[in-house]
Amino acid sequence: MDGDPRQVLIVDDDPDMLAIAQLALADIGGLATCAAQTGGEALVARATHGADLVLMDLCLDREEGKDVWRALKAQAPGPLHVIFVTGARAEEVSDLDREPGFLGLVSKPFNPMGLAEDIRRFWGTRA
Amino acid sequence: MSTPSPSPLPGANLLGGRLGNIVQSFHANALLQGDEIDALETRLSADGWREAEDLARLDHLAHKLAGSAGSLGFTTMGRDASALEMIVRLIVRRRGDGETGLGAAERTAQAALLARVLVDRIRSSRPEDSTLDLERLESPGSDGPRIDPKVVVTLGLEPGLLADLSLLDIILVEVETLVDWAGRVPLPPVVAVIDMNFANREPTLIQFLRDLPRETTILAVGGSDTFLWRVRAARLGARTYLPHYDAKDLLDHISRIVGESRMGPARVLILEDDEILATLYTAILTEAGMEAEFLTDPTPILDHLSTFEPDVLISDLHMPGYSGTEVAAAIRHGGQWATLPIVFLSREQDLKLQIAALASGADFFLPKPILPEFLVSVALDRADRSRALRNMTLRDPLTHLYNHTASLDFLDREVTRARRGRTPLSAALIDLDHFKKVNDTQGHHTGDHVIQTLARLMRSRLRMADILGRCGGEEFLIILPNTPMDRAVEVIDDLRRAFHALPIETPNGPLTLSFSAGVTGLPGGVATDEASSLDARSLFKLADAGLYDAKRGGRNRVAAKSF
Repeated sequence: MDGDPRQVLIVDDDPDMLAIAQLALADIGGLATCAAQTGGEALVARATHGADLVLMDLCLDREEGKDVWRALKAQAPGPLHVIFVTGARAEEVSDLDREPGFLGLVSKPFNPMGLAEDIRRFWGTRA
Repeated sequence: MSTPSPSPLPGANLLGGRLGNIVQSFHANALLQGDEIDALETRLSADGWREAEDLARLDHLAHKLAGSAGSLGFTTMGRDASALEMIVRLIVRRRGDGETGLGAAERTAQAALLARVLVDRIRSSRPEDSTLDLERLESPGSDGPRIDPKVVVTLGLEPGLLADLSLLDIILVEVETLVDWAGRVPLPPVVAVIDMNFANREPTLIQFLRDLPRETTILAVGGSDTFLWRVRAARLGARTYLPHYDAKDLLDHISRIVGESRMGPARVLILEDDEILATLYTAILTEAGMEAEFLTDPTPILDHLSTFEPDVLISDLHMPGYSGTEVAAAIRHGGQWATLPIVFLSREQDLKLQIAALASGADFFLPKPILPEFLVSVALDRADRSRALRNMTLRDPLTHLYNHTASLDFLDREVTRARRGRTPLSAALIDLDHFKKVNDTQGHHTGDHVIQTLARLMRSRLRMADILGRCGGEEFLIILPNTPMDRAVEVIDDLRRAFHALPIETPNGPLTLSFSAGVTGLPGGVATDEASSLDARSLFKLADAGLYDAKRGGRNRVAAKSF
């Protein structure tokens, strides 16, 4: 669709969550996606595929989603935005809105049927 | 419950296959994670939940499952994981503050139970239990069960039996078969009325009804009034069974249930001195769709009861300074809360305390540590019954409008609310003209019919937010929140015209009647001190003075009386 992100990079250490998020965004939502399980993979994927939006899980195995996001943002030439994925209780959300490129929060569990719609809505709010 | 159509989504089958693989993979991984949680729980329970690394790992696993299970359509597993994550996190944080003490053992017992519940849930789950269904494009169950509070479905009932439904603001769907139901009822209804003779012919009915959300109330009718038929009705999950019934009985029951369903989510107040456990219980009930609040100290409970107005109180039996029994007695002393259900949380060793609590009016005991499902079902069940009872005591049996006492309580509350929010509020007092003559010449039966007709008209012409009461005899009080007086006069005058134009059928031919009304109002945005002299009682008196003016002015009219 016109006005969609060029590509969404999904970062989650849980392969099942990656799979369901890809199904939700690409197959159901018709968005272009690529995926990464670690910060390292995310940096490579971003450099290779040129994503302009990151769907970032906050709580990765042995890594903080926020740190990975900062590394991505520092590495990247060109505009890059982020939507964070938090746990249901969303305890870790404080100050996230001050991160550069922040567009919004999606909380887990999410509804795969409506995820792409939520992402598009956030994408539409970028300055 | 949409109709299964051949292919609602392009490529749904292809997607369905991929979704199936993802669910399979999630399930296989969940089993492995369940084994790890099992091992962690055993180790942690052996060392008193102290090993930081194990706690961190358990927190991580629970956190991940809480997010993934729900997203993949395993809602209950997600909730169990979420509860475990919460208590582990709180325990870790409290440890960091250097806190130990008596409460610690209770918390770790609760954490251990939640871990075992989650492990059992994972092990007993099957990939096909996932509620994610691309074919039907439904959202997973994470949104909780939804019902349509306006829809009433009848199954196998004589068609047209409930023709006179204008009394209730509902949509009636009459269906003949279960297939018919699936095709015509998009959301589960607020009430399902089932004819028992139909039930006997349809062996799959029990399962079908079980799959409805618990918010749907099942009303069984027909058959005969014997123990056997009553048991059959109970097996269908019927809350009420009416072997012999007529349209009026059914309408009475339906309007009562619809009235309860509009009271919003069940409200639960928790009294538990351990803040970690209180937080956990609150979260469990909130996730199950209830409104829950907690207090860790019983001292302010009376104030809290009147602001929060819970349907049920769940209280610890053991609290520093007070026993749960004393708290229950203190609450029961105030007549207003004499019927509030009280559920006590107690450890099995507290047998003596439990017996004492029974005497002070305990309704139920929940053993500690608490099984989340048990907590949810006990809270919902008690709240349902408490609402049904309260609704019954608040309503006038003839019209199902609020009775005199309830109407005045509502007026009190709305005046307070309007003053706080500086919003306008109006009240109208309505009195039928020459009603005594109707009763004397036509008999009480016709008199009742007139009263019911006016009640029905009021319901159909006024807003949901308006509060309708019958103050006894032929007098009615209408409270119109957020409505300035001039607007209220228009609304009531429209109602007056409509009533006067309505021929009321009686055995002696149609009757034309009228009413008089006094309207008064509290303007919005008044200064607090100016309005503070105006309470519910003076508002009622003003409306009454207006009514007097209307009667003296010749009846069949509306008179305004401003503040």
